[in-house]
Amino acid sequence: MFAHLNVRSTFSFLASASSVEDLVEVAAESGTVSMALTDIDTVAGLVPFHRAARRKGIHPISGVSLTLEGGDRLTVLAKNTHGYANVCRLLTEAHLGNERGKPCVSLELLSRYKDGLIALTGGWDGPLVRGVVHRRKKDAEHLLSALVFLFGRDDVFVELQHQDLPGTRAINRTLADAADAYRLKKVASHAVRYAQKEQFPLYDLLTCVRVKSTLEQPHPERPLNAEEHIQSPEEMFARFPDHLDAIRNTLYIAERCSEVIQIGKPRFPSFPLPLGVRSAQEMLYTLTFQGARNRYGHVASALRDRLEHELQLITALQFADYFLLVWDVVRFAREKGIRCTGRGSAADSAVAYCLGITDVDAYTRGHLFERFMSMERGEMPDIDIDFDARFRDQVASYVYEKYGSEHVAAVCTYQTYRVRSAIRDIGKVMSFPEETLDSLAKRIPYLLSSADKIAGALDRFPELQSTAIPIERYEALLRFAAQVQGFPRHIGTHLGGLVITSEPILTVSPLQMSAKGVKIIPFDKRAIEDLGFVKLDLLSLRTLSAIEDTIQLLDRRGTPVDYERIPMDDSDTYAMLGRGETIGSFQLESPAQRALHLRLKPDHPEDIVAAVALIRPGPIKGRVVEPFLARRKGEEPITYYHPKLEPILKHTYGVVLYQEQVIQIATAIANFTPGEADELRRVMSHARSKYEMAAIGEQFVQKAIANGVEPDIAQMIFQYIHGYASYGFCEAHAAAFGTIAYKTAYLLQHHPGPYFASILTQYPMGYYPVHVIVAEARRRGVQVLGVDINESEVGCTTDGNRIRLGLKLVRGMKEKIAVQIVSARSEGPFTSPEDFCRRVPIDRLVMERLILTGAFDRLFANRRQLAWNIHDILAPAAWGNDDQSLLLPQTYSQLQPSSTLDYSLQERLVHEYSFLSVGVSGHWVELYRPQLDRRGVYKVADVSGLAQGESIWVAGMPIRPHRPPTKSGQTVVFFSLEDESGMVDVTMFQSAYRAGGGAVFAPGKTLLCVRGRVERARGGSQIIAERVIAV
Amino acid sequence: MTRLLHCQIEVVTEGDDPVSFVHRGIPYTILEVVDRWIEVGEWWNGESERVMYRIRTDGEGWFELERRPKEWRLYKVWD
Repeated sequence: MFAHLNVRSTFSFLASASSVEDLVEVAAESGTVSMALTDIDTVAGLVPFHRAARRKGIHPISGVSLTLEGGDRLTVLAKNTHGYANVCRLLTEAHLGNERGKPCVSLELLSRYKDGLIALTGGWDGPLVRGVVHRRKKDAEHLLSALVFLFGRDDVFVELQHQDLPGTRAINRTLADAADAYRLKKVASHAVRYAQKEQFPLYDLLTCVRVKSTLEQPHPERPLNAEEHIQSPEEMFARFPDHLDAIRNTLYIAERCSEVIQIGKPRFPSFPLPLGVRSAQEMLYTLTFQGARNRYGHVASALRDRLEHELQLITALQFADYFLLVWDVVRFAREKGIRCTGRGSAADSAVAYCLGITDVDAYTRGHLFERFMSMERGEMPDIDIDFDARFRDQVASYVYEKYGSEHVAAVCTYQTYRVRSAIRDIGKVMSFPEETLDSLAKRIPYLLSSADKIAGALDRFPELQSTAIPIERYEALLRFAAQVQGFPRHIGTHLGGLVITSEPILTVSPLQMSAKGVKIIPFDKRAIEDLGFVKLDLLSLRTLSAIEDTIQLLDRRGTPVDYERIPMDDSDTYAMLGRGETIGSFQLESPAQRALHLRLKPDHPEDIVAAVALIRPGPIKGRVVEPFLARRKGEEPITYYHPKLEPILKHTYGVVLYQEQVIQIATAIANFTPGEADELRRVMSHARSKYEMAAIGEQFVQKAIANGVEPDIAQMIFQYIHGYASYGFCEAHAAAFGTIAYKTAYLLQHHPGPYFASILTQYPMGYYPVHVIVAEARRRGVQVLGVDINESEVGCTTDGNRIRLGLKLVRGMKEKIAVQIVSARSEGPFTSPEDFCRRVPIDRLVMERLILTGAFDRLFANRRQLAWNIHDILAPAAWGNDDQSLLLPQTYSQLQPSSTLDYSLQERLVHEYSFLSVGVSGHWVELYRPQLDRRGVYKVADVSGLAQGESIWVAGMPIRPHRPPTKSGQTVVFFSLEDESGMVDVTMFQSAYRAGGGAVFAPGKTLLCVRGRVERARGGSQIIAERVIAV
Repeated sequence: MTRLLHCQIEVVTEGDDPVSFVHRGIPYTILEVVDRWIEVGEWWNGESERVMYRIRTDGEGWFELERRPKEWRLYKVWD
């Protein structure tokens, strides 16, 4: 029997080649009874470690490998929860008290937080072995004395390791002597850095990434051999025949270390109740029914029953405080005029709607509450709230103030290796030329996100075949890149997640600083759920910012619109959607959505909700879209296997589209409780094993038969929901987004000027680049004017049918400077570029870009001449030394020609597209139009007038080329082509793609010529590409 | 003072461990394996793992032997 006490997982960034789960799996197979996880300066892996250990019957020990001042590593193990809290405090001070990314612990710090801990002297990177190896005998003796003083003899162990390294025998003899001299116990450990021997090459590669060397370069931190994998107890006995007591002591330590991470234990904070309110439940009931009266006017008995049902469940699961907490955050935002709305499955709750947390009427729409929370699941409900992106941090600050900074922290995320980053890092270690890697990484399709797909990439994607990398090395690179997929690489801040804890955070989690300067806990979303923390997702949604801007622009224009009361049955809006003219609308603007709307011809809010759910990888792969459309249009009969299915599937024409429907079917047909049914939905959604699926199917069929359903019908229904369940989308989420989507479409239809101006102000947002949004605005008759130093505001503005681009759109323009420009103008317009430079502290780079994008055109028409003069008009302090300057060095300014010709149209467009992301002097394709005309290349606007099947050439700028997953596994490429006349969608099937379609994804492409067939169907036109040439 | 030799030799073993070898016609009996370790070499170039032995022989000779999958090599000798 043996316990592993020195084990590192991939959470020790680049210092391990195995996940926690793999380590536990292999340890269990090897007969290890107990194991410690001792990652470097983090406890991030402890939650998945406990989860995996529990599954495999291994006793988990919580530990950490602490970096001491000087760089040596000391292992500490938590004996109990008090010890774990001290680990958290040690790590917090180690991280926050030192430069970010360089945590370290002093002996003084250890002395403050030593209780409840066992100290091991560490392995070959530990202070004792290093002291022996580097002949720093006194240092080693000092350390041992200090550890004995701090922890006491019974809690300090001299760690012996045997990884078949040179000098091991002698070092272990010396360590054993030292242990005897200090009357300390010895403990045997094995430095586990990967689960199995086969993972050694990956570990060596990752080490090279960490120490910034190549495989060919030696480095002291690179492993000498491949022995740092899990050892069986027998192997450990064989390695320590002379130190059997050290082996036995592993078990002695394991017995003294209890399981300190309590998975699932709730740590909810109490909502601070106002005076006179006796309980959270009472307050929640009161607020809910107040809200119901506000929302509905009258609370009918059915609504009352629904609310009572939800409230009972919320109370029984002790989530009343959580609901109040979320309500309070939304209340704060609304009081401050911050636009917000709930999304996700919370929109299945009528209580959330009555509390104002969501804007989806779950009761009227018949949403199923159990998709959101159920007694059987008993999990913390997840409520995500979107806020106007500009004010999200203000809301987060309110949470910190209300609950105290010692109880609130941001959730982290782990940026994991993806195929591109893996290729860059590992390719560099393998000595591939940097430019080759850069080119390769840019070309790697996003599809290659999982290991199994990488292997076939070379065959499938023509752009990968044109690199100069020898095939064997290329294969090795891709193989290693596949193996490293999903390994944590960096820690970052979750977009919106905050945890709030009842006990001080430092007793359950350490804190560290993120790159953004936010204090984060090292546990991600999944770990937080297991730890029983309350998580608030306060998300930023720029669409809400654009909506708010639009409403304000309309107010200022004297044509106010009440966003809350936008009519949901506006025929003009539906007609626009039916024409597929959705560019700019939330969630509905992608080519797939536009194509869907052409066929769907929506005429009801429910159609928009369905559209949001339909255009997802799942429904597309699952071929849900076609039967849905066919049945909706009456081209296919709507049938049901059982009469009980009709009320559930009627609004989706008999097709299972939403996850809620799976739950309802299991409830109605097989008499599952809603909670059981949700579990069925979850099992189906997560593609479990066929045995598990078969077992669930058996249960479903048996219960259905017991419920009076014919056996063959029960079987057919199970197969039916099985086929669709994994593709289902949460209806509540679709409804939440669908409502916003429709309302943005309404603003787009009726107020295109203000709406497009607001989108451009909030850029980056949405699906398309700026020039597409501008092209669409122009197509709709909105005039788009360039940046003007005397007219432009910070953001884009509109006076009705004209948009003036805002200063913020100029690349490199800081908001602060834009505000200063507008503010300086309040004293009067700028009269000349010199006047501008006198009144605004502008730097050379931004000044250049303002000139080159035409911001001074009305003061000085010749951009080239003004650019030549820049150093004469700028204050010397603003000249700077920026090597990004496009212009000549200042000493050349004296060489200014007396009569300078202005930039050509081509030069102007280069500057405008580069620094404004859009051409204001014209369109890029206009430059090529004379040649294109000579060759008979059509404008895209002409395509709609051509006959079906006609073979033509078109040219334009490629927009958002992508390769979504397809059921057949064939590669189909979709992109749009934009020219000066508009935009047309292009589809390229596998054969054309493999015959040279790589040009679409080639880096730096600006113009493509496409030969293809016109396809006119479903009310629109597109091109089926046969050949693509980059110009 | 050491010399790197890298020459192939014949070794007599007991189990995995060397007990004697012959170098340039001279037989050596191994009195003690002073140290033993494993190295991976240039795995990326297809090199295999090797076991290194630092040994003391009769006549107070000190050597490092290298055991590869199909051969033994005398890697280093102390003069």
